[in-house]
Amino acid sequence: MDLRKPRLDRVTLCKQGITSDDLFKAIDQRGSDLGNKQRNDSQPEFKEIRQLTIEARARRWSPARDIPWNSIRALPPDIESSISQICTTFLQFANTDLAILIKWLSKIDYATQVEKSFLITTVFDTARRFAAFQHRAVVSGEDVASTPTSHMCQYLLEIDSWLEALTSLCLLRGLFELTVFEYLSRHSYNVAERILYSNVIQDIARFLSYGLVSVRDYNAKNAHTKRNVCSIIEKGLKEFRLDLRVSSFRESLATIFAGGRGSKKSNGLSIFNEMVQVHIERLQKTLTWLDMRISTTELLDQTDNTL
Amino acid sequence: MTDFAWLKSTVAEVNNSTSYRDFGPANILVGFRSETNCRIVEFKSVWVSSNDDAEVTDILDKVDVLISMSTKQWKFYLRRRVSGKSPSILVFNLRNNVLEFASPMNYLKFLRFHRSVQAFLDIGCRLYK
Repeated sequence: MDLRKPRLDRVTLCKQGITSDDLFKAIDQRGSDLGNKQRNDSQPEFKEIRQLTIEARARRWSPARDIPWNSIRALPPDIESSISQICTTFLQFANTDLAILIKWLSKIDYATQVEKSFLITTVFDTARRFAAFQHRAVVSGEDVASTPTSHMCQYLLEIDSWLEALTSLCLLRGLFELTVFEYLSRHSYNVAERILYSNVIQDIARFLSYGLVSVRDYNAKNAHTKRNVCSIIEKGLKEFRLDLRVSSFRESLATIFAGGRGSKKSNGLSIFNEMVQVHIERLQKTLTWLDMRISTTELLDQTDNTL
Repeated sequence: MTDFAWLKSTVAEVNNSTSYRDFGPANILVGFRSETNCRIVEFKSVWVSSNDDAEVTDILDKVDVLISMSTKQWKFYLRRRVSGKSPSILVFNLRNNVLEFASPMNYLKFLRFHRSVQAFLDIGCRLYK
């Protein structure tokens, strides 16, 4: 039954043989596009979400108080400008995440307060991430660099279903960010960066824990939605490939990993390629866990050694 | 002396440490494995609640994350960590594959609490002899 059709009164419904049960089913179906109906706060999965909310509040951090910014010493200009460039990219990611979360928060049913509360903590986490990377970008006197608009960000903003947006945020954005932050942590230049990346990793992991469990539970109940989500992810992977080709992103990370430009850059690029490989392996494992059959082998083409 | 004798004193030290509690609550089961020994440490709220012997077989099903190194690697990691030359266990894993997880959710759970686990290891490396 399609609820988008014009108003139906009770007499018309009776004439068409539609019962109130059919009507409620249709409303449930429509509500479930927001990923929240067919659930209520007493269901077991909400216990986990409630725990995540408590955890988010208890483990929150402050960029001003918890990051020792004064541990940052002057770095060679090429490294500093690369860090500034990559921080700007993370600003763009955080901005997009915020826009998506805020767009859908207002549409999620108030009956599922637990989910709403958790997503609000995620909004705070993302805003904190934005503030922290903005500060890191300019702390050594560099300006916030200009960065090309990410294909993936545009793609995420255009998705018009919460479940699809959530899946894409987790699988296309979150998992990749985690791997990048792990590698940046390995190649960080001071204590401030190490603590910053560690804190961001725990925030993103918390959101992914919520997202992946929600997607798995939902997919288990709705085969047709699962197919839609799979096709959204497949399209998203193409955008991801385009983003990997952006030279400023590759070059900035390669410079940070190698500790400078020039002859060291090829070494940095091989670390970048290793990072992409690690990400693809993790993505494939996660897709298998979600029982989503999507091939990621095309992404391996991106691990060439040219800029 | 077993490979993980240092865990006992570390648990006591962590439970007395206020700086450890600053990281916030953590609820995770961490397995420590060397060639012959295996221990399961339970992080619960802002404490470490237990530190028990375990069978080497099937341990991955009983814990959220398994930190698996040879005795020599444990010694190398803890000695260098105390002198500030070793990275965090998360970063150390990238080249050495020392972390094992039963599922992607366990991997995420470890990442959520990795700062607490690292703080535990950092206290442990100071007590390691």
